[in-house]
Amino acid sequence: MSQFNSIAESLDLLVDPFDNSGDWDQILRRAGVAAPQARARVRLRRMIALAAVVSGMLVAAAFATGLVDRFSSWLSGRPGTPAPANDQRGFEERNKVAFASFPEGTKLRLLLRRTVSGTTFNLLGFRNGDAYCLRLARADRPTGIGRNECLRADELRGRAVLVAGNAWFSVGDPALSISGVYGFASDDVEAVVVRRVRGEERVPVQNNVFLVLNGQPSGTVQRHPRPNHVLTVTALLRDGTSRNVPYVVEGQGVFPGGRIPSVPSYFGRGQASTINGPTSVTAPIDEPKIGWLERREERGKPLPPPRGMQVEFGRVIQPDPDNPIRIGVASASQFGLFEARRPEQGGICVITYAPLTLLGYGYGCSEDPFAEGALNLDASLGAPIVHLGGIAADGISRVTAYLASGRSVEAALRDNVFGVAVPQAELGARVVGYDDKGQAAAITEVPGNAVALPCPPAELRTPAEQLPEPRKWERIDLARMTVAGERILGRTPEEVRAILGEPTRVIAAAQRTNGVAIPELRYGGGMPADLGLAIRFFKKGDRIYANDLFFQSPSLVDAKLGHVLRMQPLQLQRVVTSTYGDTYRLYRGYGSDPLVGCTGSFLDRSSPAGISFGVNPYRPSRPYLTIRTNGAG
Amino acid sequence: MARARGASLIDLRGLYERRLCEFRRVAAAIVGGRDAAEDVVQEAFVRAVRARDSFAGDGPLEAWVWRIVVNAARDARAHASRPLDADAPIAASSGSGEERRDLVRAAVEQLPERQRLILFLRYYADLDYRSISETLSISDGTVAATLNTAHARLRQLLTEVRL
Repeated sequence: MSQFNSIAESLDLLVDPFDNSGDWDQILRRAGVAAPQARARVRLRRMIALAAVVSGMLVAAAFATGLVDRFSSWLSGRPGTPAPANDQRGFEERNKVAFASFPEGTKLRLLLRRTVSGTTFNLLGFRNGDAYCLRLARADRPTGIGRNECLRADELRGRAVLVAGNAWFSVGDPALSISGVYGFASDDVEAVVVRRVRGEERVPVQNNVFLVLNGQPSGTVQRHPRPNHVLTVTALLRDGTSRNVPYVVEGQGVFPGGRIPSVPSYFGRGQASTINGPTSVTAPIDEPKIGWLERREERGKPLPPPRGMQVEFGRVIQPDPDNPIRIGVASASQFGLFEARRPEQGGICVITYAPLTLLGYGYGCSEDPFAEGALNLDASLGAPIVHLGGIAADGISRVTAYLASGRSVEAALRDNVFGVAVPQAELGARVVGYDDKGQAAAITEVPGNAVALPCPPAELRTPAEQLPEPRKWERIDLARMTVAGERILGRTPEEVRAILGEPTRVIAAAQRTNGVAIPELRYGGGMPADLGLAIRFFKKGDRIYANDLFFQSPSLVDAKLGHVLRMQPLQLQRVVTSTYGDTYRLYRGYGSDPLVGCTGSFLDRSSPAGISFGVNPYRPSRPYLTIRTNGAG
Repeated sequence: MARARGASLIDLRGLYERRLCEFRRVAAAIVGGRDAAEDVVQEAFVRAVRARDSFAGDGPLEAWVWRIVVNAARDARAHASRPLDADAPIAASSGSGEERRDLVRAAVEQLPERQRLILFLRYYADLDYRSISETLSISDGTVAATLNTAHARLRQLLTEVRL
């Protein structure tokens, strides 16, 4: 340090001082504020210097259309007001013990507060490096994990609203289930409207964020309040127009354009989208590996003792310094219930640590994680913001995610661990690993979102009058839930066989409960595609009893309704309502919730039992009807 | 006593005229180019003027503006596919001075971002610990500790290259 007397002297070398000549009027003009007076001097100077300024203006224009212009509360990085001391303290306590923590000294800001059924929730925000972070927490449980999401500022660019997360909390006793969505909204947005399975809510935007929460009684084994999840999100703009916000319902599927179909629907695969980027590997990596892991170099941080695996050596890497998500990489000789087939070689486990979690959030292990190529993707796809992350073999110097929306996003990559957060609504994705020459060295794909499609009509090829006489097990009475005049539900397998006769096929261990094999009896066919009746059993204590009767025989006849599986599902729904309305109430209209598909259901008015009906959209020639006790025994 | 919400144009203009050199110098250190730094500061003030009503008045106006400038500079750096004005020196070259400057730059680049920012705000803007903590939304103690660490690390790096 002999040539440098001080830090100040060293830094002085880096940036020469600037002069003090600025252009305040230009700022006012660009900000849309009238300058005190138009000045010919300025105008003339601008004309003369026009050519020279063009490049600078382009840069400025790029900034002007950027995020912070439209998210003014976040402009300074300190939106809202300082978080209540309790929330700040709770966060710090949790952050101190969490493995995937935020930088010490992070100050939360209170963006908005909502009280639902007596429980108050605080939506808190802060800027973490280049990322914008939201934390949703119960005010009475500030040390709880809450919901935490960080997004690069770039992800908000050009958006009106971005849903950052789904929220679900269970509060009180008896339990109340509080659910909803939260996220970012630009200055242009006045309010956000959320449409649910039942009803609609409108919430104002505050500090460039929104929070929609709604409570309903939680379900129990025998009581199932119908879920009321969010279906669509709409931004109401200050200019009076509205804009659909891309949203993936419960991580399952989307309504294109935010339009909920008026006909029965299910979430099925939409048309394949065109995704940019290379489609084939041009420079595969020979014998892909992670050198530092093999050499046991102490990269990142130590790996906390993981559950469910015998770790030989592991470290935790934080690929993106602005996102607290950490990914553990470990060589293990045993994982889950199994020992590696080649214990001397072992396998590699990838463990994800979500923000503020105390332990690993999830992990996956493989004896050869690079068997399919030099990228191993371990993505969690169930939330509005998807974290695409995983490990890349030596030789991968850059990882890019190409999205179905047309965008491409660079992933953070450090010590062979990569990660990038993208909105789920923009999937599918092609994740490409490049070598240092820019050649595609590995490609892995992420499937696209399902879209709402109309339920196909049931294909009723054989008219009822041409069907053979119903067999014993094809005669039901929906009013009494009987088969062949006998109550089958609640019977043991032996009792069922004594009543209905020998089945076509017995699956001795269709499922296991606490190590006990639970059978399934099939009549009229042995395979799922051709069986007429499948009787499924349930174990309660020492007793195994029939819990549901699944019919798909065309000859099925109800005592009052006749051939119930020779009707279109909507027609069946109508006749059950009109004929058995005193016995059953409609619980879910046919195809009314694409999440559960082309199905409808009724509940018994005096017990948890019920019936459901519908078609499998991939096999519409076999409509079905199920009678079940719903655990009532 | 509660302070009035919002910043006045007069106050913003005063800051602009009084501290323009420092704003530009810090921005230049972050983005790595002089022309880009001037654009960044202009842009930051455009944002500040547009958002002046959202200034909550719960801290000094100058710290609020510094945050906007620093964020604008970091955005610019993050969005540049290559270092902005990579070919444009941010200090005039002078023979062996150029070599020394490259060494200092290389050493500074090795520091974590937070350490770099605190160094820039301390030395180029002459901000005290309280103002830096307000600007970066961290505690005074964190500023002091980070600055100490940055000093030590920078000294070590510069010593390693035999400066």
